[in-house]
Parts: sequence; C-alpha cells; structure tokens
Amino acid sequence: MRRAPLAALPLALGCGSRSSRGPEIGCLDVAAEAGLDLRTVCGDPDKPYIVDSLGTGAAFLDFDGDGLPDIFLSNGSRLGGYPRGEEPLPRFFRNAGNGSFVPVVTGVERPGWWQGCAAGDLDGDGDPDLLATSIDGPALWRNGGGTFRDATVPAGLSHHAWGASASPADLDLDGDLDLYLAGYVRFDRAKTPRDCPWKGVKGFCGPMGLLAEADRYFRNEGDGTFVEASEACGLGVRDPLYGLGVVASDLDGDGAPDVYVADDSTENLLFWNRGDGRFEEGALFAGAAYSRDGVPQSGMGVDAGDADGDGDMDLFVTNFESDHSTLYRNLGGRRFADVSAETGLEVASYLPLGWGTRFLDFDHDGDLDLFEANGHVYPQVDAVPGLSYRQRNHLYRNEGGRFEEVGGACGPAFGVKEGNRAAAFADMEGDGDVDVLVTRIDGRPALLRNDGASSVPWIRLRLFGTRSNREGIGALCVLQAGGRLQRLEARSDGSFFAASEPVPHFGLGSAAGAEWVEVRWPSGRRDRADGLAAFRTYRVVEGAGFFPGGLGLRN
Amino acid sequence: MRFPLAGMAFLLLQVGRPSTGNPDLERGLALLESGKAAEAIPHLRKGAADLPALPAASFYLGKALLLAGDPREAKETLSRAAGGAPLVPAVRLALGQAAAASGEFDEAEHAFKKAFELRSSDPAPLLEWGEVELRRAVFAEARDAFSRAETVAPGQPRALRGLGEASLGLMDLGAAEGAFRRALEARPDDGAALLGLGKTLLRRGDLEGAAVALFDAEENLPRDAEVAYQLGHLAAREGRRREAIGWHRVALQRDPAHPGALYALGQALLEAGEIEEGRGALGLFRGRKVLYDSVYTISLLAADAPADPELRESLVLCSVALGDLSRARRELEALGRLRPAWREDPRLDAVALCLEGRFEEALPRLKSVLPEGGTTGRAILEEVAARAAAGKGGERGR
Repeated sequence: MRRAPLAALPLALGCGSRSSRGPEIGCLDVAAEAGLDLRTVCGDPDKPYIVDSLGTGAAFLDFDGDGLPDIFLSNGSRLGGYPRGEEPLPRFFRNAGNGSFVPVVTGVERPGWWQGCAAGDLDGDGDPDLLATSIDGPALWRNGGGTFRDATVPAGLSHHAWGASASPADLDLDGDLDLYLAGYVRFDRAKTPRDCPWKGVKGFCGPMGLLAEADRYFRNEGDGTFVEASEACGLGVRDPLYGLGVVASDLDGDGAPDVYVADDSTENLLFWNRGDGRFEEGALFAGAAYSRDGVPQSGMGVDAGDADGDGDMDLFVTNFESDHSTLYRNLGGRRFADVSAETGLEVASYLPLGWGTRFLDFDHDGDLDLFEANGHVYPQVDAVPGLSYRQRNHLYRNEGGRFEEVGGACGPAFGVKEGNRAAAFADMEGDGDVDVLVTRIDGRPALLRNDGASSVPWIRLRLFGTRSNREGIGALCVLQAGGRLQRLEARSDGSFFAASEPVPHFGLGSAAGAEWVEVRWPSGRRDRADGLAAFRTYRVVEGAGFFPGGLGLRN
Repeated sequence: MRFPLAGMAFLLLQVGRPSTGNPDLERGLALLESGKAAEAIPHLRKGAADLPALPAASFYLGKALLLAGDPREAKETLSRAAGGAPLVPAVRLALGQAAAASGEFDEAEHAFKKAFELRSSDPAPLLEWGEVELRRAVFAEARDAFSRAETVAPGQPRALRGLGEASLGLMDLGAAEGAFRRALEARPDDGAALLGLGKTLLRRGDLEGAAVALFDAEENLPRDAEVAYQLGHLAAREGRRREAIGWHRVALQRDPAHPGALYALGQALLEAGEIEEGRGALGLFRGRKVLYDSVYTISLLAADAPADPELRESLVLCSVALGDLSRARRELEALGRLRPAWREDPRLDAVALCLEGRFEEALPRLKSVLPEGGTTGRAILEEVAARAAAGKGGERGR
C-alpha cells in the first residue's frame, strides 16, 4: 500500500524533532481500511465475572508461507453460550500484500472462549502452527499448507483448564519447540461471588480468593506429540499462581532459554534453565518476583529485551492501574533490580492498566523502546474520579536509558481510548518497520501502522533453523552498527495473549549498515556475516549463512 | 482511632448535653468525658434504653462504642441518633467515623458529605472524607476533599499533607511536592509531611532534596520504620549499599513486620554478596507473604462460615506467627465461644504460650502438632522460630 506522505500526517509527527530526539515517527490505525473488521466478544459487557474481563488474543504468523505475516484473531463467548450457528468465531486474515487483509476460512473457525495464542513450527514441517488457549483448555491447530486441522488430542495437549498466554520455545534444547502455558484461575461460576468493592464501585471478584490454575509445560517429543512434564522438569510450583504472561528468554546468558511468568496479584516466577532439561524457580532470590517495595503486582504482559544495551536481557512487566509497570534490569549473576523509578517508567506507567507489551526499536535509533497496551478491567471505574475503563496505549521512547511516554504525540492512533488487551508485532508490509496489532475487548482490533521509521536504516533477519527449530526461535542475534552492539532474540512469545513475528528487527540509527551480524543458534552453532547493507531483510540459514531476501519458511 | 476527646466539649455543645436526670446517662457521660469509654458503655447503654426517643443518648453511646473499638455497633447506634437528629453535623461526623472504622466507606463518605453540608464552615468532615478516600485509594476524590478543606480553612497541615498524599497517589509529583512544602511552611517539624516530601523527591529523582527531607523526617520521627526504610532506598539509589543495609535493619528494628524493609534488606544483602543472610531474610519474607495470604483467604472463608472453629483456629495460628497478638487474642476469644474446650487442643496450648511471649517453649510443641510439609505450617514454624531466636515476642508495631 502506498502510504500517505508524512507531510499529510501533521498529527503523526510529534514524537520529537529529528535533530534532537531521533527520527520522526507516526502511527495510524489502518484496521478499517485494511479490512480487519472482526468484532470480538468476551462475556457480558458489564463484566460481572473475572472470566469476562481478559479479552481476546491475536497473532501475526505467515500461515501461507508467502513471506508476509498474516493475522489470527481469537474470539470469545459468554457464560451460557450462544445459540448454535450464532457463536463468535476466531478468524484468519490473509495478508494480501497491498495493505489489506482478507478473511479466509482455514479450519480454525471453531466456537469457544479463545484467548491467548502461540505460533511456531511445532511439528517442524516448515510452516507455523497455532496454539490457542481458552477458558476450557487449549487447541492445537496444525498447519497443513495453509489450512489447519485440530491436533489437540493426538498431540497430547488436551486438558480442561483456563490457559492464558503461551510460549513456544525449545526449552530442552533438542531442536523442537516445547510449550509453556500459563494457567490463570479455576473458574467455577457457582462458587464465584459477585460485586466486590473496588474504590467505591462494585466490580467482579478475583483473582484473589479464587483457586489458581497451574501452569503447564509440554515437552515436544519430536514425533508430533507432547508430554506434560511440568513437575518432572521443575517447571511446577507447589501452590499455583494466577499466570497471565510468559516469555522464554536466555536471561543468564548460558545459551538455554529461561522462563519468566507474569502472575496476576501474586509474585512472578522465574524458572532458571539448568541446561539438562530441568529448571529451578528463583524469582525471589533473583529480585524479579516483586516490585522494589516487595509488593506483589498484577502481572499481565511481559517481555524481555536488552533495554540498557549492556548485553543481557532485561524484563518488563505490565501491571494494574495505580501501580507502575516494572522494568527489571538484569544485573548479571542471575540478579535483577526494579529500576522503574530510575528509568522514569514508575511515573509514566502508573495510571493505566497495562496488558500487551514488547521491547522494540520503534524509531530505529538503535535502542529498544517499549509499547504498552492499556485498558481497565472494570467498566464500573468510569464512575470513579480520575479513572476510566477505556485507556490509550503508551509508547515509551528510550532516551539513553530513561523512558519517556511519547505515544500521545505519535499520531491519532495513540490518542484513542479503548479497552486494549493483546498486542502482537510484525512488519506487516515488509517495508522495514514494526507495526502493532492490538485487540480491544468487545470491539474491533486496531492495526497501528508505523510510518516514518522505515526511512531510517534497519536490518531484519529471517531465520531458518536446520539443526535448531525451523524459525530459529531462541536464537540470539548480535549486530554491530556504528560501533554499537545490539542483541535481539528471535521470539514469538511475550506480550499478553499474543504471538508476534519471530523476526529480529534492528534499527541502525545513523549507521549505513552493520559492521557485522552474528546469529547464535539454540543448537550452539554460529553464523556470521560482515558488512551488511541496511534497508534489507536477510535470510539466515543455520550453517549456511546469510542471504539477501526474506521470504517465508516455504520459500 | 482518630477521635480526640479534646473535641468532646464541642460535640456536647452541638448535640446538647442531656439533662434528663437519668442517673445512668449522667454517670456514663461523666465517664466518657474523663476518657473511660469502656466503663461508660454499660451506663450509656442503659440510659439509651431508658430514653429511646432521645437522640443524644444514642449519640453518646455510639461515641463510647467507637472509642472503645466497636465501630460496627457504634455505627448502628449512631444511625439511630442520626435518624432522630438528622440536622446535627456532629452526629453525622461521628457516624461517618464509625462507618469508616467499619470499612463501610460509601456510608462514611455519605455521612461526611452530609456533615459538611450541615456546617460548611467546618473542615473536619472534609478531612475525614479525604482520609477515607486515601484508604480506599480513590486519590482524585481524596485530593478534591483535601482541596476543599484547604479552601475552608487555609494552611492546615493535615489538609495539605493529605493533599500531598493524594497527589502522590496520583503520581502528580509536582503537586505533591508543592502540598508537602506548604504543609511544612505551616509546621516545619511535621514529620509525616517531611516523609511525604522525601518519598516524592525520591520518585522525582531529586536524591539530594530527598536526603534533606528524609533526614529531617528522621529527626522528627526517630522511631518511624517507614522513614528508615525510605532512607535505605535513598542509600541504595546513591549506591551506598552498606548504608542501605543498615537503614533497612533499623526499619526492621522499629517494625519487625515491615514487609518492604525485610524484602529490601534481603535483596541488598544478596547484592552485597551476603548470600546466606540475604536468602534467610527473603525466606522469612516469603513465609510472611504466605501467612498474610492465608489470613486474607481464611478471613474471606470465615466471613461466610463464622461458626467454623477450624477457620478461627487457623486465624489464631497465623496471627500469632505474624506477631499480630491482638488479633490472635480476638480470634481466640471467638474460638472460645465456638469451642469452650479449646485449651485441650495442643496447638492452642502452644498459642497461649506465644501470647505470653514464651516462643521458645511454644516452638517444640508447635513442631510436634503442625503438619510437615504444609506451606502455611512451615511459615508459622519459621516465624515462631525467628521470634524464639530473637528472644522476644514483641507485639508487632503498627
């Protein structure tokens, strides 16, 4: 699609002047013109129960292998259900490559109260599969060349539990993608009270006081089946917590992905990967379980990224209203510190209630910014002075280690107040900048097109694992440009209820290209290239090196 | 309880001291005026029963109940008084206080607003309303209430401090700093305002300003755990790790149950490489969290099943472990009504020892009766062991 020239977007130019604050960027919601018109539902609009409040998920995945990320939107239901034939259904939208998305029937259109999404080539056959969580257990849809079939039962994933976000990652380093599913609440309507007081209004009750659902780790056996191995591998806890967000990231730099879970109302969990297929929980001693004050927050979304450019992955967790989202700086030695106050995020993120999030270099200046989707859980808070159910999304620009909320100045899309929830990330047009798909509870999604950043040098890496998993999920990509080192992991997980394009995307600032790039695969193998030109997507094939062009898995 | 008896003369003036010749009422009033609320209650209760049509009798009974720590009955009694004397602001104010103390914030808000309507020259109901909104974290309303109080009677430290706290709750740090500074203009040694200013400046990243405010707060509130805790954070922000550890230790000496200080101490010790001690502190912190969560959950269950002795017993045990001995005693009394033979229960026998501060004697008994491996049981034993080791069972500072 031809974009509106920047001169025609006066509202989209306010993120700072190029001379002093980096490149000018803007953002427009193009969902309507792109044809992304699915109105999703999540329970009763008054949200009398917790189950009504979380919203639905979204995924960017190239299901048809044409190199362009397509869109999956999960859809919910309501207590009591819908008459047959009238149920809301999840949908796929094929990226037509001209800026529009076309609804297509792929086999996933099954009624349910679907929520989170995980995307990855789980069976290693060269195309991404899709796992959707629901309040009644997950569904695994296996991709067979652009159409999906339900493989939940034969894959061994069938169970009845409220799952939230899910992470596909090669946790046992055997070359295929395993699954970690965050469990939320054991919801029983008959045993759930209503009308709990909150700041003078009555909202739904929970999660505190309700039974928590256990997280589950499913190990990929490599033959199309999974085995639940939570306890056997040390990925279980004695008392389940209210898991919502999950990210698998190599937090201690030992080459094995660790698992971090953002838990609602209780402490967060961090499972250190011992490298032998077993894990040990250590969030408390790592300083990443609570806020600086030792207070359990309400973790919703989560991501990992090298926010301070010191070579290790930091963590960001979105939390409840009147409580800041938390940036945990990785200090090394399996230690983190809550640096929300020092980095300006304590104040900037304090008022809204955060959900989907991701570290991304939105403006291509060479450091990681942060996106945060916001929206309250209680519609009733509109009666509370100073609070609102619908909230605007935030974009925190990284200014030398301090984060400044600049979304409001980045175009009208950031000024819209909605019940935002999941956020998925991809370069939907392949034009060299990262766009954002945001679901809105009981509404149509927003598709935030990044305008402006693609004019600033960038490099994208589309990975093709040979010994490692096919998409190279978990690979660490290190790039040096202008003398500055950057590190990104290839991941589709993180955020909240979302799956993103697992394509590391580097902004190069004023550098014309990268001095060198190295991909450190989960298998341990390394591929390196020197002198890469900017404004290009490179295919990196494990063991074979770098190639220009970034087509999909099948190409 | 925010209810100074110094205000009694004012209240008597407004409601009118009953001159009924009722000896019980007269005796009760005399006791109440001399600060003996608990002793006054039986007399006032009888007087109110003898004179059901006299709102003042219910009013004084309600006040006595409130002062004696029974806000629920106080609220019911004061509601009757308000029904009989709907235009008396003092009755509404007291009703609001009783409702607030009962956790009935909506009712409290309504009563305070009504009291202010009836006497708009008096900022007291606005101040009380602001406190209620602070308690339930509706900071915009709190700010409104304190702003109005400040308009009615400018320059009051309490209103300005409240304005600062409300602004801090809204993360409006500029407004918070301004309000705390104005409170300090009115009363330079206002420790709470100094603490609020210090916290605000710490959040703003003005570490130098925060240091001045917090050390001044320390001078004015030399036993305050929160001041020491914030000084610990300040030291940590400035990279003075040993000093941070020291301040967090001081905070815990002042309030052994300060959860933030225990957590911060554990993390600071780990940072300093004192792994064993740091892990010990964090282990204790985690156990305490388990106990607080247990108390929360059991309280919810007990509200639905008030006659369940098992739930009461669990609350007794958790409260003892957390050092909340007054709650433990209260729950034990309730348990005694449900299970008169509770003393025969070895667990409660051990609890009785804890209540006397004899933690060392209680520990082996508890070990023999609490189930092995239970998360809550383990946390209880760890807490009691820590108290036994400390050689003291000091009631938790609050």
